[in-house]
Amino acid sequence: MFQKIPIEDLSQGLSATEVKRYSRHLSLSEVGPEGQQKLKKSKVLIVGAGGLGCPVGLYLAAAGIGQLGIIDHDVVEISNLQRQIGHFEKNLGLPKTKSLAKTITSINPQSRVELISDKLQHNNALQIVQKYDVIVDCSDNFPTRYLVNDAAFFANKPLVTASVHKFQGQLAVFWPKSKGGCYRCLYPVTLPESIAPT
Amino acid sequence: MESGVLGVLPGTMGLLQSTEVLKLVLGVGIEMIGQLLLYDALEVDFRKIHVPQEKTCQLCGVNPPIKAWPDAGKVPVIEEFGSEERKNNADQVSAHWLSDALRNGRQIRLVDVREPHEWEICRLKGAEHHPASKIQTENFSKDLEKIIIFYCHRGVRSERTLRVFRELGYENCRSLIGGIDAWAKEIEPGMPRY
Ligand SMILES: [Zn+2]
Repeated sequence: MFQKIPIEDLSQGLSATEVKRYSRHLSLSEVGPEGQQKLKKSKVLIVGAGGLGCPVGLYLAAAGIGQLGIIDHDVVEISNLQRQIGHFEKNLGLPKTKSLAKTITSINPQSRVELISDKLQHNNALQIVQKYDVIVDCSDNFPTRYLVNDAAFFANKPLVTASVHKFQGQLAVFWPKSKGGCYRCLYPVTLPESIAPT
Repeated sequence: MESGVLGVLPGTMGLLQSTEVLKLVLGVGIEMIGQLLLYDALEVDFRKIHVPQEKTCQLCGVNPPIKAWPDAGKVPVIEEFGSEERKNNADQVSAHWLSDALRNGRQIRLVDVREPHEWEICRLKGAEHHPASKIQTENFSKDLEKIIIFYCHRGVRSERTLRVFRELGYENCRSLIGGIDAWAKEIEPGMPRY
C-alpha cells in the first residue's frame, strides 16, 4: 500500500515574502499553497555533501524544503570543485557540511540546516534517520549505502538513492513498506569496487 | 587511482533525486518507488527497470536474516566467484549463474567465440566478438578480478577455447554450459535460436 508522508500542522501559512518567492510553485495545481507548506514543514536528510549532495541540497532549499540535514565528514578539496557545485574555491579546507550550508543559506536563508559532521555509523544511523521524512543517499561507498538502506527500512522512511560512475548514473527510490524492493533486493552482493561512484 | 566521473553527471543524477524528493513530499507521482533508472550519458539512454521485493532479500524478504537494527548495516559478504559451479566443475558456469552475476553488476568480460554469421543471428548483450579460430590471447588480462566468460552455440568451442587459455595460465576464465542456446532456453526466451 502506498503511504503518504505524514506532515502535520499546515496551519502556519505562508508569509508575503514566501508567496512571492514561491509564486511559480503556487501556480502549479500539484503544489499550490498547501503543497508549498508541506515542503516547508518537511525534513530531508542528505547523506553526503559531494557531487550528488550539492545539487540536492541547493535545489531542495531553493524549492522551499524547510529543514535539511546534511551529514558528511570530509573537507572541501580542489579536486571536488569539478563537480561538487555547492562548494566554492574560497571554502577549500572547510568541512563539506559547513561549506554547503553556507551556499544553501545564501540561496535561501529561510531553510534550516542541521549539520552532522560525523561519519554515519551503526551507532548513530537509525537515530538520525528517524528524525527526517525523506532520506536522500548521496554517499560514495557501499558500507554507507547498505547502512542507509537498512536504517530507512527500519524507520520506514522513503529512500532516494543515486550513484555515478564515469558516464553512467543510477537512481532508485525505495520504500519497501509501500511498494517494491530495497537496495539489498537490487544488490544482494556488493558490486566490484570499480563500479563504486565517487 | 580514483575512478573518473564526468563533472556534470552528479548534477543530472542529483536533480533527479531532488525531483523525487519533492514528489514524495507533495504526494504526487509514486512511479519511481521500487524502480531503478539507469542513465548513460554517452548513449543518451534512460532506462527504467522494476526492482521487485525479492523473497530472498536479507532485509525485506521472507523470514530475513536481518530481523532488527542490531543485525543491520553490514555489507553483504562477497561470495566467491561462482562458488557453486566451482565446487562442481571449476571451468563452467550456468546460464542462470551468469544471468544473476550480470544482474548484480558483476564485472564480466563476455566473449563470443562463434563465427560471424552466428553472431549476426543473436548475441548476448555486452558481448565482444572473437571467433575461436582467430582469438588472440594477448588481448586478455590474467587479472583474477576480471572474469572472462567464453560462450559459443552449445558450449563445445567455448570449452576448447577455455582449454587453450588455461594452458597459458589464465585462471580467470570460464565457459558457459550449453552456450547461447541454453541462455535462450532458460533466460531470454525471445532470443532467436538456430
Ligand atoms: Zn530488500
